[in-house]
Amino acid sequence: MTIAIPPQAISELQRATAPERVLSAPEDLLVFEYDATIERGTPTVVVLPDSAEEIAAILRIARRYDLPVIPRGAGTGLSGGAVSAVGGVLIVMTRMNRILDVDIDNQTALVQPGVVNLELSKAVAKDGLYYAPDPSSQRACTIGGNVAENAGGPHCLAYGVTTNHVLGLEVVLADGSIVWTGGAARDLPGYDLTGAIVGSEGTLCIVTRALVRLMRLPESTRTLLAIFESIEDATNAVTAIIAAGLIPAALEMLDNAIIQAVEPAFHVGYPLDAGAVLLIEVEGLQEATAEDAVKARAICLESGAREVREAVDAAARERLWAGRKGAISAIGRIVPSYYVLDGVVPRTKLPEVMARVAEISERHGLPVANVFHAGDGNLHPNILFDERIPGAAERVLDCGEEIMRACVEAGGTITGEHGVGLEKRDFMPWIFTEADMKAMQRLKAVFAADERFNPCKAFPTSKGCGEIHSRALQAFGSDAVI
Amino acid sequence: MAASPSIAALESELRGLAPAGALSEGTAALAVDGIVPSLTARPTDITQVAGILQACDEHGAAVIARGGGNHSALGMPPARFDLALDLSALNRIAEYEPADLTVTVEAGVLLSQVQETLAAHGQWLPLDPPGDGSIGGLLAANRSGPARMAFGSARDLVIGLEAATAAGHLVKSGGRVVKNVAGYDLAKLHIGGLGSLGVIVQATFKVVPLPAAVSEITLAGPLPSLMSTSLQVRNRGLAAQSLVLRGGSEGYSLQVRLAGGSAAVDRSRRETEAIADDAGLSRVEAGPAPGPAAVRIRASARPTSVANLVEAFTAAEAAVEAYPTAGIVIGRMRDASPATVEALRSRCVAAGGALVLEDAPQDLKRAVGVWGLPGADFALMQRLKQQFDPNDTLSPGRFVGGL
Repeated sequence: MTIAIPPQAISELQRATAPERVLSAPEDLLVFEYDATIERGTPTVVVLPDSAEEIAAILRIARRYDLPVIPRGAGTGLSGGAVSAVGGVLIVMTRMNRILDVDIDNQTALVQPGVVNLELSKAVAKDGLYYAPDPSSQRACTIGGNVAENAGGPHCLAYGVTTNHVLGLEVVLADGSIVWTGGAARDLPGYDLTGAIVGSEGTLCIVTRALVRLMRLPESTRTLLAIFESIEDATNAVTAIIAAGLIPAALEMLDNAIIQAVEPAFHVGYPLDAGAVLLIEVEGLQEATAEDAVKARAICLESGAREVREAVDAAARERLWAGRKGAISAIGRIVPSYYVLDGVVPRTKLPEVMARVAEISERHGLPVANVFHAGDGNLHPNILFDERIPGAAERVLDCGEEIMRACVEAGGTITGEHGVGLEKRDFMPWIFTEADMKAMQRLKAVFAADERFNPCKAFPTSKGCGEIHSRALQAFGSDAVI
Repeated sequence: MAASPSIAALESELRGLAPAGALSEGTAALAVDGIVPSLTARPTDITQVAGILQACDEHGAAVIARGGGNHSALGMPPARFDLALDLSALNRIAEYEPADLTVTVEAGVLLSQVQETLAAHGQWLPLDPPGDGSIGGLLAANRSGPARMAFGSARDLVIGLEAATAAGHLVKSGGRVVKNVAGYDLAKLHIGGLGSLGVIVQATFKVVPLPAAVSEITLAGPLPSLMSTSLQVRNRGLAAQSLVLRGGSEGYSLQVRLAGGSAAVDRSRRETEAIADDAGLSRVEAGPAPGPAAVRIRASARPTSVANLVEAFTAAEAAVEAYPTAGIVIGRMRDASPATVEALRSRCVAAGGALVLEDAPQDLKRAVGVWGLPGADFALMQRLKQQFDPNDTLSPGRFVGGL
């Protein structure tokens, strides 16, 4: 299902950008139909702009022809945010991938939205700096996408998420105007529009430049692997660590199911018979990390850890992290399909919620593999299944929904970092009232972005959005990942 | 231009809503920039706030909220002011689970009360503006102190917020957990919004453990040496919670507060002293905190512009307080001419920043404006105000660009 586009519109788009940067042949559109989920949507046309001015022109053309627009980065998203729901103009930002300026003394960088997250950190490493928000997809995901989703990552426990690192944005509005919000100086007078744009899932405007905060690389990093017999012991350790006032730079959990997938593939040293492991990283001055590592080790042992190992050098640390960051992709080795969930609960509720996840998984007859940011209560239960079995996909969605409900019932939320996107629009009423959502939707009017600006995302289903999920279920291929 | 509200009609409607004793005549003590409101309401719970705002909105009455009144001086003189909304009775700590490191408080709770409650569990809210104030006021005014260099400001610490709108709705955003990307982040708009989009009634914060060890050292010497010392402390990742530069024409000092584990603090202290010795700085006693002043200006700029602004403030005879690595420079003066403030503001703006006249006599505020010229995104801000407060009920005329 896609919207028709008159030939004049295509010519106008070509004149506004360049003929080779406007794609409408079916074989070209295929590549842009999906993200890192099973959501599928065919755009009507794909455009790859080089500048804010080109984007302004594209948006004005789209408006004139009443076409939806969908901004897209690298397409690594986990909620369908960059998937075209009803067709329209897919605006792919990846050509705008330059780091425009690095200000070492002020510790800021000005970047185009197509800059790859890890590339930014690599580029400033020689100056002793890095960009802190580190989603697991950071080798591929872009800053623009990070801004849209308010991306997190393992190190956000200590350093905050994307919104804590964005100082200013240049954006293009639906009417084609180009506006700067925020800036290098903190607390500029006025409303924090930058803060409102971050995490708005590409539904308000298109980011064309971002001024971000950089941090100094820490003097010392220590990485521990704590091995537990059970998820319960591991979650109790997490709660105990946070309650003891120790906030590591990262505190990640992987359960046995994930270890079974990861270890044979990556050989990082995760024991195959562990119930769960915690990957704990502490950063800072030598003295601080030495003290924190001792404290973390003691708490883990008190909580029943069988053993606590420490990475002896950078290579060992890299291996431990490779296992964590490659975990989701490794799942594909052991099962035909899997569904990545993203929920958050207060840390004190982790043990109880993880027990509920196990119970829900068993009742649905669907195994769950957990790898997640335990330190901030951000769960990623991955439901494993074989979509060739009739009815399996529906069961998976039911199971996932029940797990999300369990998170909300425990005082948590429906998404910690992947976004609401297409996937969870209809869960929004679990956590927000009509009045809450109506107030939020007023921002669409502020930004002159009507329902054609990235339609069917982030808020409950509006008319015309149809049953995207069921369409996706029908479109399942043998390598489906949802 | 709104017609004069019928105060009598509003009053009788409010009496129907409020419990007895919560509504009374406005007094001079509640004045904002010399304007005394006709009425004051003191709700005892959050839902009453929504009802009061709705009634005022319907009757064309302008509302300004207050907790302890510590921040009422901030902003341009109001265009209209009919009802003072006293939130001091919204003083509950609604939820606090120490093991979660989050706390939810009503808008009328004082910062000092929050800190006292958290301290009993070895924690604190890392917001340290000078003086005390209600949480609602601190957030509406976006107050911060020098600990922001380590922990960020209110926009980095708030994880959930509830505000009452002019139309009488209670609107939540965020939640009670530290990772949350559901919904738009309306809290960012209310923080620093001076109550012009809604009245903040409750906020959830992430909190941090109190440091195991604290050590303070105050250094004195030439400004360039103090600035370079600040940068070195930052660049070496020493355990500095705050760096405060103070002084003026008689000279400058840098107060360094180190905090963290004891070994880290010991090491940081030794290194700070070594850096100071190399820079020819002397160690001195910490001076007294600055007293109140008739005129207080606050500049924000890139950190590399701080030295320049400190010198300019000193030349204008201000007592200076700066957070060098955060790019904040505060000046306190007995008086200042419009020309002086404008010249300082131009310098800030030229450095890519802004200067806010936080406290000043009315005539100075009117002469130079509190906020400076609005930025390139002002049209969006106007639309925001239009969307959330179409009748200009909330704190009218006090914010940027007369919003």
